[in-house]
Amino acid sequence: MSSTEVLGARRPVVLRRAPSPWLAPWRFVRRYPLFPAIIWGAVIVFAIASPLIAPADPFRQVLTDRLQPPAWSEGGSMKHVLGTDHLGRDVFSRIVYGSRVTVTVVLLTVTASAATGTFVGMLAGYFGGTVDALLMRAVDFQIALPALLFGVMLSSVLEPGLRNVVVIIVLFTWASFARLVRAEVLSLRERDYVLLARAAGAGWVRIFVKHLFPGVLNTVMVLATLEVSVVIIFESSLSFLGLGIVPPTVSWGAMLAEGREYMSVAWWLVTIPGLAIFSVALAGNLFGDWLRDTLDPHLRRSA
Amino acid sequence: MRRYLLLRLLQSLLTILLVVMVVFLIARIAGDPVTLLVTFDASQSDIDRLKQELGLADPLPQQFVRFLTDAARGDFGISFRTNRPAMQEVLSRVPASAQLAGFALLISLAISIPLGVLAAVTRGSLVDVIARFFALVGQAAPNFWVGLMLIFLFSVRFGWFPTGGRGGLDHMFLPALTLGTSASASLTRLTRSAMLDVINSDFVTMARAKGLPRRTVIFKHALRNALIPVVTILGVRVGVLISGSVIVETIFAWPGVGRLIIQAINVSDFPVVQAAITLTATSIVLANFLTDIVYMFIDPRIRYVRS
Repeated sequence: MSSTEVLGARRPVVLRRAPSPWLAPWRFVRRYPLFPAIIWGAVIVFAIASPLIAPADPFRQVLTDRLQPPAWSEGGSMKHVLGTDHLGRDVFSRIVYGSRVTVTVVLLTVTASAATGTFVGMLAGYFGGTVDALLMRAVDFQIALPALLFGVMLSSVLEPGLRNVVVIIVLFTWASFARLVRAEVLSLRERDYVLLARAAGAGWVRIFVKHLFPGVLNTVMVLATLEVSVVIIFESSLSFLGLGIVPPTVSWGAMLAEGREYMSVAWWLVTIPGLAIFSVALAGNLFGDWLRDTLDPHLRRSA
Repeated sequence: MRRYLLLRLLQSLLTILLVVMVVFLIARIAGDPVTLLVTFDASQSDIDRLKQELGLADPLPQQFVRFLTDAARGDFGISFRTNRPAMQEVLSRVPASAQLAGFALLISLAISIPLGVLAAVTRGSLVDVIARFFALVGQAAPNFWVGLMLIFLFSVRFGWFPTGGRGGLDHMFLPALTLGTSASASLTRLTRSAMLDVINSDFVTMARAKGLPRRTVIFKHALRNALIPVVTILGVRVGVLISGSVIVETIFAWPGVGRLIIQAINVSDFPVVQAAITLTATSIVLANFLTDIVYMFIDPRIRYVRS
């Protein structure tokens, strides 16, 4: 603390303006995670109950109905709310089924890379020395590798499909968890309660589970939420290039790639799947920011 | 300081070595390159002979050392598709990629720094909200979608820009804007928060108290210090930007290295894929190294702390 602070002389240079009433909706959005809750809620419901929600079979081709615009557009009808694609398949139904890939990929990759990264970070931070040096070089190396570039190369030699997409994404995301967890553990391991547990003869497994893990949980949760958008964009980029989830499995990235050919006549084929990817990613980032502010009020200022 | 430089240089070289190793290993996962070269009716003895000739019968470490020494000389083999040296194929695409990436970086700096500064000095205003909204949206929008939407709006609908290909400035604008979007978004966010940190520090209060004009305080005292974290992250963003060119160049039919990678993958032209990925990854590692050096020069504190 500097003396100026004690004297109250420290003032921001810029005068705070009175909050504008016009921006009230914006502040509301920032304060409560309403938008993420709605988007994620919808996507999860879509994924679980796809057959109940989708009005049509996502694979059924009706060539007479091809390239129908969405309902609100000229020439559209309520029969196909979001229109149809070049094979006459219902776009809304495909979005609904496509959410399954998104939800599965996000759940699997984020859990796996958070778990791996947390474990590695704990090992490095707790044991220090050679273990730390070796593990952290691996972390540095992973972070130095351009993920998308190597993701593209790796997926081109592996079989396309869900399993390999998950493996590839985990390979390129675990390290950021490890780095953050290690930094936290470095300070946690010197705390009295950890030292006491060690003095009492607790093994490292017990200390990890009972004493360190609860301490890093907040950080891991915040990072995991923020990673959601990274994972979604990674998956859809691979699928867009035809190297991730490939047809017949429905994925938003692949829908966009297919729709691209018809962009000049059917704007909705590119706009709608893109909007789906974008909203889920945005919801992830908003929720992550909110979670960080809520769990750690110290960081609120810079958010 | 010299020790730190040397250490970073060594680290970068090690990373490049590992990059080459990963590229080598990934190519081996792909299976036996010989099967791609022979016809279906080739006999086992033909295959064995070819393997001997190409050195594929040797133990893996030996193959790697050979791959590495060849790679160091820029020899990645012959492109299956064009029968020209793979590296030559890649190098002929470098100017286009460098031009696009450079322009994208310029655009994103031209957007993010003024916007970030303006947002910070008018904190809570409409401009600030727009800047924060842009930062959020820009980071969540995948670049292939942004690119296609820009093509749809400005090329298909309004016809202001060409839909793709390389040519004058008008050809470069949309792809560069797309490639720079996520960098602009994250740099805006960073500039804003760095400015806010600096603005609230004692030396800025002091400068204001001395009665210096607002502009002098913002640009001379605040911005120069706020740019330090921005430069740090710039290296990372350049890396993301260069890898993003794989997608953006494909969408805009831009004849650069990124598009070459996808084209080569589609026809299993492995020598070209290996050469292109090695070169691109190496340039990213070097960009990070250069950022660290620049960082060291603009922030004297680093020199003392790390040496």
